[in-house]
Amino acid sequence: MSSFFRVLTAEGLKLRRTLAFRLAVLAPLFIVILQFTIELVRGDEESGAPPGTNPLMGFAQGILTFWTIVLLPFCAALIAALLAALEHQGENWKHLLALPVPRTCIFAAKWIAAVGLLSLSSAVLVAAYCLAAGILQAVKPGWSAASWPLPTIIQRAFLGLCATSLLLSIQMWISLRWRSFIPGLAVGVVSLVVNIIILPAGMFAANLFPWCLPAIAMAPHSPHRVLGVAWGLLGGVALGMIACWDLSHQEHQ
Amino acid sequence: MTDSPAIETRELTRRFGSRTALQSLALCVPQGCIYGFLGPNGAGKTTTIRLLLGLLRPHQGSIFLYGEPFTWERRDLLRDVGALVETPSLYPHLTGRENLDLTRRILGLPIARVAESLELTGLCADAGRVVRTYSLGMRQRLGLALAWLGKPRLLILDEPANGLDPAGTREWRALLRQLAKEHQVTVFLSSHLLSEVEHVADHIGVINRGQLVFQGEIGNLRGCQPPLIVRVDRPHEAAHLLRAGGWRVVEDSNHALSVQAASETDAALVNRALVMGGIHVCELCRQEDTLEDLFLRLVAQADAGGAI
Repeated sequence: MSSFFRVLTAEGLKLRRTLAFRLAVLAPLFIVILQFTIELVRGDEESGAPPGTNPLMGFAQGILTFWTIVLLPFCAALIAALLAALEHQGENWKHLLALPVPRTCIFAAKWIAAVGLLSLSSAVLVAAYCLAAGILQAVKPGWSAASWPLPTIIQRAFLGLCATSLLLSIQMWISLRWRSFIPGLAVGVVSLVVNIIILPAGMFAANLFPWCLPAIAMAPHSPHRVLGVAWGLLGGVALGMIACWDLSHQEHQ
Repeated sequence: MTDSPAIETRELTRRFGSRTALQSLALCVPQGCIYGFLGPNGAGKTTTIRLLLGLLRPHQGSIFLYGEPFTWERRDLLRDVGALVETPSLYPHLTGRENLDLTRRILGLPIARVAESLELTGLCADAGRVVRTYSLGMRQRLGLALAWLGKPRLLILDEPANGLDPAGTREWRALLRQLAKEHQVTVFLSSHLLSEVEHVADHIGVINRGQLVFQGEIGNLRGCQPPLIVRVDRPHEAAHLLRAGGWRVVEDSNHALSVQAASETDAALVNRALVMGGIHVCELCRQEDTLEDLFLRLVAQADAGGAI
């Protein structure tokens, strides 16, 4: 266990000044700024939310929808590819895998680093939402009385994150297995398109398709929400373990 | 156990598809020596090193590190091993110090080891710069610092002087000698730069087409007496005369003959035979082979099917 934590602290150090780290911070900021700008342009009385509902909840719903359907799966694909590229580009596997630590620790730490970056993204999303919502309340008189749905936002962001585990494990496995950036990104982009097609169609298959799970987990009235979160989380952990076993038994030629 | 070789391989064989990269390799690297592992490109040097580091699995045979059998599951034995395989494995977005700190964390070493390694490799002044701004020589030195970080008993270096300029190469030599002398480290140095190995190694192994064609001390290799070079006015006649006397002669260019004459007495006899035969001997010397000559001769003999 101590080997694992030692490798994990090294993974943390590796993230300094990386594109993966910047992406994890900037991607949620982008979606919040976009939604914030839309709400500002709409003027004082208008709101993206249906009449009679909490405008701050409507603001959050707009952010979370775009985040779970598009940005979160895409970020997971990019982060997995960028983390793997850190080792592939410098031929660093030959150094890492020749160190006297269990190989499973090396791959498990990489997986945890990816989860950490996506958790950071979710935290930045919630923090940026709070800031933007505070500003909107100050500049839009119609919003000043709205109550803050913060627990709901945090809960949905957390559930969406849990449900992302399965697609993240798939992306990590592909990115670590192949040197090229292309397989990981191709799978990510194609799956994203499939997600956008099958999710609105309400097909049951969407409840099993890993790239749809974050959106299902965040949807407040989805009947398959629990199934989506459980499948995403448990499937992700199981697949992550299988991937670690497979990768640690690979030769490095 | 203390007298066990630092590295020993028995019948080590590795194939890639139908191609046999290594065939029954039997390395024996004594403790405390600098072992030069020589071979032309594609001879199997890097495959051997990857097997020694557990990056590849052997198809046959076994590896022993300090007498302990090294297998895929016995990664703990690598605690005594530091390695630099071809280009150093560095993260260009991190500083030199951060690169070392990263491996230090994984190995669970005290923080002072980073400063010691930087000092040994002369990188203290540049340790705060990101590695992408480093020159090739500095990267190689940082690679050595990484390999040396855990103070291993065995350093495995694969083509470490690749791409270095003459000054950088000289620095490398000095560093390796310092490590071997001051820290009693065994160095396994793979290189195709024969002159590089000649200057630092005391033992060498020569590999060609996956098979070891020579292994031993450099002195033993040199012990094979180099031929006598005889420059004469009429080389063809001289060669004929000497062959008639039972000598093995090869006619060289530039009016010179290469004569297999083991002792100084033999050299005197060759001279006398030529003079008595009316040949003018302009020069008679024994040309010391460079390691490169010996290497090329060994590889040529191995290619021709001759056992060494």
